[in-house]
Order: sequence, then C-alpha cells, then structure tokens
Amino acid sequence: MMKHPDSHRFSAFLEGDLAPPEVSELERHLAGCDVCSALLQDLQDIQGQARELPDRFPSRDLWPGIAQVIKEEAGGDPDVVRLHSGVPVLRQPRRRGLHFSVPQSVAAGLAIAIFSGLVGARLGHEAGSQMVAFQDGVSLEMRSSWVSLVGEAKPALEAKALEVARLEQLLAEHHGGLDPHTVQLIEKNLDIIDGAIRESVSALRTDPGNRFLEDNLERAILAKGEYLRDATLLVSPIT
Amino acid sequence: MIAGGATIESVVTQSPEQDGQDVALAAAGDPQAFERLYRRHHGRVHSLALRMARVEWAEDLTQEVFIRAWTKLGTFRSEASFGTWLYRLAVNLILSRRETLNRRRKRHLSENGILDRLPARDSHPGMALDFEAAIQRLPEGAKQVFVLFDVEGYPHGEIAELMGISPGTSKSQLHRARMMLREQLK
Repeated sequence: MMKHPDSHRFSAFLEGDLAPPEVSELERHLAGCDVCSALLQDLQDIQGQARELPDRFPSRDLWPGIAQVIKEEAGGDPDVVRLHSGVPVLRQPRRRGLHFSVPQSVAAGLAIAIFSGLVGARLGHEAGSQMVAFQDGVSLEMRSSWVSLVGEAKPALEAKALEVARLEQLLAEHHGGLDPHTVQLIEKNLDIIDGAIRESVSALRTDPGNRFLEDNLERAILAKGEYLRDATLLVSPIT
Repeated sequence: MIAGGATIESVVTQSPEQDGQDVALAAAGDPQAFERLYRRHHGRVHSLALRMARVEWAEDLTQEVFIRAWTKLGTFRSEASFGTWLYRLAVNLILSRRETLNRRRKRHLSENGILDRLPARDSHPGMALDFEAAIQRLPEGAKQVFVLFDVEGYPHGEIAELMGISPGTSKSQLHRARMMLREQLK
C-alpha cells in the first residue's frame, strides 16, 4: 500500500518551504498518486480563490459617521452629544449609539441640577459633586454614592449599578493617557447618563414600584455600563 | 512577499500619488482629503474586517479604523505607502478587538439567554456556502492566519508578530484552514 506524505508537506511545497531533495521526492510521489495530486490541486485552487477575492463594500455609506467623529474632535457639534465613541459594540438591531438632542440635553441638565440638590442635601456634600463621572480626586465612595441610591430605589438593580461603578473606577484610574478633549467628551456624556439615572431614582422615590420608572432606571444603568465599557477600550493600547 | 510572488506593496494599487497628496492635506486637518482616502481604501479595509472578524462587526470596525487613522495620521511616514500603513493599522486594531468583541458577544448572548439556542457555527441567512461563507466558518485563529497570508499576502513572520504566535504556529494554522476549507467546499 502506498504511503502518502503528511498533508502539511503540500502546504510547505506551495509556499516554497521544502528543500530541493524533498521537492523531488514529493514530485515523484505525486506523479504516481491521484489522491495526493487531487489534494495538491485543491490546495492550489483554494490559494488561487483567496487571491482573487474581490473587495466587499459596506452595505451603507460609513463616511458620515466618521465625518461626525472628526468634526466633534475638531471642536464639537453643539446639536449632538455622541455617546458612542466609534468603538464597535455588538449591534442590537440597527441601533447606532445614543444621541441626545439639545432639548434632551437641557432637560437632563435640569434634572442634574435639581437632583444634585436633593442628593447633596441627603449626603451632606456640596450639590453637584457626588455624581461627577470621573475627575481626579473623586473617591470611589463618592462616585459610588449613586449605587446606594439606586439600591434604595430598586434593590434588584444595586448589583448591576455596582458593576458599573467598578468600571467607572477603572476608567478613572487609567484615563490619564487620553487626550483631554476625549476625557471632556466622556465626562460630558457620563454626566448626561448620570442625569437620567438621578431623574429615575428621584421619580421612583415619589412613585415606588412604578414598573416604567424601574425599567427606565435599568436602561440608564445599562447604557452607562455600555458606554463605560467602550470608554475603557480607549485606554487599552492599540498601535 | 506574498504567496504567488507579489509583494504587499503591489497589492495596494490605489493611486499612491494621490494618496500622498491627500495624506499631507488630511494631516493638516482637511477632512475632504481624508474622505478621498476613505473612498479609495474603505472597500479593502471593510473586506479585511469582514473576513478577519465577524460579519456583524465589519462596518463598526471599518469606521473605527478610519477614525483611528485620522488621529494617527501624524505618525505616518511616507517611506511606506498609505495603503500599507492603513491596512497594518487595521489588522492591529481588528486583532486587538477580537477578545473584547468575543467577550462582549458571549456576555450579550448570555444576558439575553439565547446562547444555548444558537447553532454551533455561524449562519448567515441568504449567504450561500461559497468561499466567503466557508472562510467565516473557520475557527478564529485559522481564519485570521488564512486571511492574512492567502488573502492579504502577509508573510508568516509578520503574521506571527501581529498575532503573538510563532511562525510555525502560523504555518500550521494556515494548513489547517486550507484543509478545512477543502472539506467545506467539497
């Protein structure tokens, strides 16, 4: 019975990795072996098809999204605050990041202002300082204060909030290498999400158990987690 | 040198002179020049992302590659062509994202409780089991080596460096990929 060469030798043959005596030996075998000749031909066909693969273009024009990011980095678009940093996420059906319009941002800002006052009174800190997403010198305890508030409003969400707070801490510890404009953008976006969290917590205090408000709070926490996960990717080195 | 005797440089056929002018303009902050670079190169970058990562991530990765390129244009040195530089940047970014994206995919699927209901292999409705689909079905490591070597023309030494593996492993993965493709395409 004919002994066939190890199939790896065929790839080595195609790539020119075999020494001349090995090439001669393989060619002698191929001359009398249809099985191995067919294998080599198949591998050559695969190589050929790979080289001939045409470019495959995106299903939509990606330039507007890129242009938007470039524009924001060059000075910002006051009409849109981009929460998606261009870092790929597992896409849910056609949802492309979160955007807040000016009225929504203003509403969120008002909510922050109102709720910060409530939180400040409750915790005995100066209003507005407890929920800042990440700034040098802000302790984990202060950053995490919103976690306990979430826990009081909806105990089942406290664990999720804690995970998000850990991500927040992680980012705070490693954002030093980021461009200041990027940090500013991240802080701005996190402030808006924090505003939505505060607003939901505040509403739940007056209407405990409201399913809509609970869902709203959960969505805001998950959005913050997703945003922080994307942002933490920015601090991982890429060459 | 790529399989078949061509070099990576010769594969990058898109207007190197125009690229040079547009890179200079884009590096000075001209977004229209950068758009022209995008138009000339996005097909190849998207193809790379689509073949090396997952179909559903390809567009996001393509966008991210060009955003990254915009921010790093200042580091581009004209000894290499812009295309070579860009594709290398794309490969690095795609490889750096793979673990994160895979983790996120698993987490996402787990959170939605549908992980156990998925088929063992990827399936893309409407996509015939052609060569592209067969590539998508390869195990990740074998797929990435196959795309880098047989499609993109990177040598094993460079693939090994990019992927943090030995050249021997790269060769072995390439052969594995070719044999699996052969089985699938029978």
